[in-house]
Amino acid sequence: MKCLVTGGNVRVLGKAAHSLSRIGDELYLEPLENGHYQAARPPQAQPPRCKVLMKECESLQAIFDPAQCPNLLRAPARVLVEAVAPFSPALSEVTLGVSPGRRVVFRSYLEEDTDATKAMMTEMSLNEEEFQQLEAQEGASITFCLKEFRGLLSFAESANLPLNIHFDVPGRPAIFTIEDSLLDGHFVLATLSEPDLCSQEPSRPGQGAHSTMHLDDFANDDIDSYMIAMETTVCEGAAVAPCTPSPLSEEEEAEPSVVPGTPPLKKFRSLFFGSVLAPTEPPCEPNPVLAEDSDGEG
Amino acid sequence: MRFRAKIVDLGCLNHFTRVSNTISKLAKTCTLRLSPDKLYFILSDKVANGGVSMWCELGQGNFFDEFQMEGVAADHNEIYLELTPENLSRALKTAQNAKTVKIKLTNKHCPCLTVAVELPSLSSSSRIVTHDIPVGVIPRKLWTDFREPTVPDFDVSIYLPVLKTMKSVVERMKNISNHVVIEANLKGEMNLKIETDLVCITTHFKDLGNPLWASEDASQDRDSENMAEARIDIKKLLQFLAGQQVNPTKALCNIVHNRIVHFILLHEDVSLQYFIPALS
Repeated sequence: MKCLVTGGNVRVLGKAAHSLSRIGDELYLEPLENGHYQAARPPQAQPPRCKVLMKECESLQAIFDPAQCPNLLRAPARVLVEAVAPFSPALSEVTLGVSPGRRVVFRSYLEEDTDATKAMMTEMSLNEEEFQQLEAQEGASITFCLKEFRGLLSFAESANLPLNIHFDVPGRPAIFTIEDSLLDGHFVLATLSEPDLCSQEPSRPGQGAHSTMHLDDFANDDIDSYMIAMETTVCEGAAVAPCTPSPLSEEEEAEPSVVPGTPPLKKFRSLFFGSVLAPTEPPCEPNPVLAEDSDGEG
Repeated sequence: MRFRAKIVDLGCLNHFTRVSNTISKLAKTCTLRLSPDKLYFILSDKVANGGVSMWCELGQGNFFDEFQMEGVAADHNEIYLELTPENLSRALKTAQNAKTVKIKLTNKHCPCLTVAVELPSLSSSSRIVTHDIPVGVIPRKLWTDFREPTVPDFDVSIYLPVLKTMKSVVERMKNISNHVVIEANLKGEMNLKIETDLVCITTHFKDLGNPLWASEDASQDRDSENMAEARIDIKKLLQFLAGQQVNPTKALCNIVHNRIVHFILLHEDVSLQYFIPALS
């Protein structure tokens, strides 16, 4: 195989390789017809692919079809980088979902063998307006590997492109795509499945009003955190930029196959649907919107 | 038991963050005591700590714009929590540009200190980062373990040299020896000494000044040149010095000969006491 990569494509190829290096140890470079090359990680538990078009041509056949995913989020890569910044670098997995109230929420995922009474939980919640597109039902969520997500995010950020997140139900792979005239990147990550209903954990004590510490008034504090969000605040800077028109990869023929080597079923902790996302009881009284002076904040 | 507090001012937030960072460098776990006027970070002198103890006291009004608490009972209007201070520091680290930070006691999957940070965003509503830090509620019958330490009956009290200088000296000494002798007299002189089979090194500090304590029997008849000394674990001394992020308004230590070294750091609104026992 002998090829020549010219001009700005060298940098694109370098960044693709850098990004893939954060996902796996080996790179699989496959020459295709019409002088395209496809860079991918060898099929293992999570086979992402990054297609780097070295010549203009028709798009390649994808194994994983974003168009078949009912849920889509699109945001500038920078917003997503900032969204995951509060999470510890040691955290393995993160849960992404849409809460009642249409906020987009990232939450740390506690692995099975972690002691919940010792581990700190972090959650980041953003207004849907920060997203160029949000087509997802409230309550939809997936859990995936944070380290790999950070890897593909840094690639998208360096290319200054928005990232599309296509996802389906937990257990089905999530497809992260970026596109411009030079490149077309599809990253596929496996997501954790939901447990059987019978193995689901019992509802946690203290979620409702019956807490041993009599924190009744504070049970509404989680609602309170959303009340902060609804306060009128001063916005510096422009409104969200209009989305770059970037057609999703359309030419899918093949049925998306079962993801080879999907990780074994893991219990999906109902922690994510704790008091924040799906309050087990409605607030005792309608909370007033705290309409402070828009000048008064910050 | 209820607790909720809010910080709006960025200067107050930075200050509180620095205190939290210092505490997290001094103790892996500690007790957070909440009262209507003050917060305390306490480490009691258990064997597990090597006999080291710490008492850090903050006036809540200097940090929080809102502060409400209700203790375990009307006549015991306080809350004692066991906390990993590093978690608090990590949570506050995400609040660098925050508009507000709320801290409250909640009951999620277990008792937690929930830190809710409101961050600016380009949209019409803020981003919210929420951290749930698990804490242990300490029952009232154990509160006596965490009483304020009394100032020991010291032999010498002396102001410390510039902490940064002291730290860099001790850092180098740590590579040579596990123990250091700290000695001082009432003439404002302090020495740090290490000794091995091969070498003895002494660093001399002069003209430090001796604080005047109100107590009558402050060693008046002590020969002012006489040194009081204590041999202490060098890592514990370094841990104390390395944890300091800001120059205190006042820094002094009290030495009880061959028994204990008691450090006192005073800032405008925070005081920190640290006790390191002498080795036999």
